[in-house]
Amino acid sequence: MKRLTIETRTDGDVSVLSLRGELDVATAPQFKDALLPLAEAGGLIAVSLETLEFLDSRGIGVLVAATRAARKAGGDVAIAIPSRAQRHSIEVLKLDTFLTLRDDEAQAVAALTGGTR
Amino acid sequence: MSATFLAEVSLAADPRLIRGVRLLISSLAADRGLSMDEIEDLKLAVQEACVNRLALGLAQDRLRIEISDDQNTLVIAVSGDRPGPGNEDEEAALGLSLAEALVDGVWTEDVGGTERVVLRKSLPPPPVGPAS
Repeated sequence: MKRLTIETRTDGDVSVLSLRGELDVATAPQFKDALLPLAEAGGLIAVSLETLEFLDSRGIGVLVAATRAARKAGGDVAIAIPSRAQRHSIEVLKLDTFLTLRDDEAQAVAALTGGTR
Repeated sequence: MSATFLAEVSLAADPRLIRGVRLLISSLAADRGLSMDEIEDLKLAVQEACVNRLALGLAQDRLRIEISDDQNTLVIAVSGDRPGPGNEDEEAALGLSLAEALVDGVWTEDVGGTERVVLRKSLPPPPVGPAS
């Protein structure tokens, strides 16, 4: 069984990456390989962590790097993160003002397409 | 009063194996009465301590985790197999900062020339039985 499964699809102009499993030091490179090319191309990217079971600082590091790369290239990243524990980790690292965090995928997509942000 | 030994795990220094440590921590913490939120925080703190040792190059072949109960406090010590100081790694420092916010105490100490990360998490008081 794969530790991390990444499903990619599009919702209008937004690429949606849905993660299932665990995003940690062991799987962060796999996520980085999937996310960073889209970010560096200046895409609008919604990352859904709604079915993610575990997130560590290395996974958060990939989200930060991709957000930085996307904004530099004229795109952006929004993250659907309903888990209290996972959101708390991001807040502890004081990254909640840099990352765009939403409660679900629909809100994350809306944040990228002119909805609430 | 000396600490009560609970578990000791020695792993190959492979990040994929830390998952097994998280499962062990989860089981021990649940048994000791921590809440679901506290267990999630503790699992992440231990994960960050293990990743710290790997990232600093202080666990090149083996990673060792010792767990004990010291006067109703869970004490988890994570060490590698190389003496410090380790490599520079900004993300490793960030991970330990995260761990500090999730448990009641985090520090590093030198034991026999090997630096280890120690985490402390207070446990709820044991239930009081009916008076006999």
